[in-house]
Amino acid sequence: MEDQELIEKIRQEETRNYGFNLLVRKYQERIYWHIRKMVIDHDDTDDITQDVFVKVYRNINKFRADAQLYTWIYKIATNECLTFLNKKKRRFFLPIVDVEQELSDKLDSSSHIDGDMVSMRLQRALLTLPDKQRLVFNMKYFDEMKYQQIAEITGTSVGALKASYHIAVKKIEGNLILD
Amino acid sequence: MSKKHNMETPENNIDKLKAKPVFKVPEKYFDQLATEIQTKAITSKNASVIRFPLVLKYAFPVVLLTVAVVFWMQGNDVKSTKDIHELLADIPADDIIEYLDESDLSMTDIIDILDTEVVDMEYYFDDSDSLSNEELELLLDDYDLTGEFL
Repeated sequence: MEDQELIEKIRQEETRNYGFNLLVRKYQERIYWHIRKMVIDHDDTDDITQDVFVKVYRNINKFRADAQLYTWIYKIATNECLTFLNKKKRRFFLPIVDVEQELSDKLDSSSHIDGDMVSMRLQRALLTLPDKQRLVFNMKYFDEMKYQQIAEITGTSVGALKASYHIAVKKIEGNLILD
Repeated sequence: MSKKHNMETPENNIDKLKAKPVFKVPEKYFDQLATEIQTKAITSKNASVIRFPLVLKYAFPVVLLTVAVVFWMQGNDVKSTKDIHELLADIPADDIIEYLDESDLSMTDIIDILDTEVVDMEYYFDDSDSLSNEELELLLDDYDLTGEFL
């Protein structure tokens, strides 16, 4: 079903729940994996994913018709990820490197992690990037999104995104060589 | 023909890395997720929650605590002031005079030490029987005390 149709269904009281169910089924996996690549842990991802869609449900009336629905949902998910990671650092007074270590440990210990050596090395290298830079890298490298779409999600210019991605790639490549 | 040495390896060319996803999900996770989300969204909408602005949420207990501390401190101050007066009142005047006579304090020292803010001067200056200037002059004339005080 097209996004516009979904929005119409959700905005009408009698079809609201049905329309919302369709919306969730359409986007849940993409949003889940976007969050999962940032926070690593499945349970944390599950919580955040649910919160994202609850926010979508509550604020669907604020959604502007001229924007892309997926971009809007993606934006909410991105903000929730960054908020979660910032709270994690503040709550335990952990310096950035310790949160990175904590996420890296989850790669080793979680039962919901299974990858070959190269992929695992890449994931560890990604954790050395600042959160926002890692976010941009994920969207460009794994999700193969266009810079324009990433710009709409992050509120950053295309030029800045290109620079950020380029620097991230160099850092990761350097990290992988040293590893 | 020279062989061109290829310096590129998978590690230093990330586009050739072909990294695969490392994350997994529990079985049938996505089958159940939509239902869980729906339930949570509808439940959160129906729940009657009094929402305070974030500032009020944290400011209110702080203000309450501050008011309680201020009242407690004021209560303690009044109590300790009364205690001082009561204590002094319990001591016989002769004992106080004897103590002051035996001490090294001069009259000037005693006056300097005296804290007129703590001591309620009403206890020592009772205006109810004070004499007017005319009454004082009459008394002085009657008892011929003019020479002693003027």
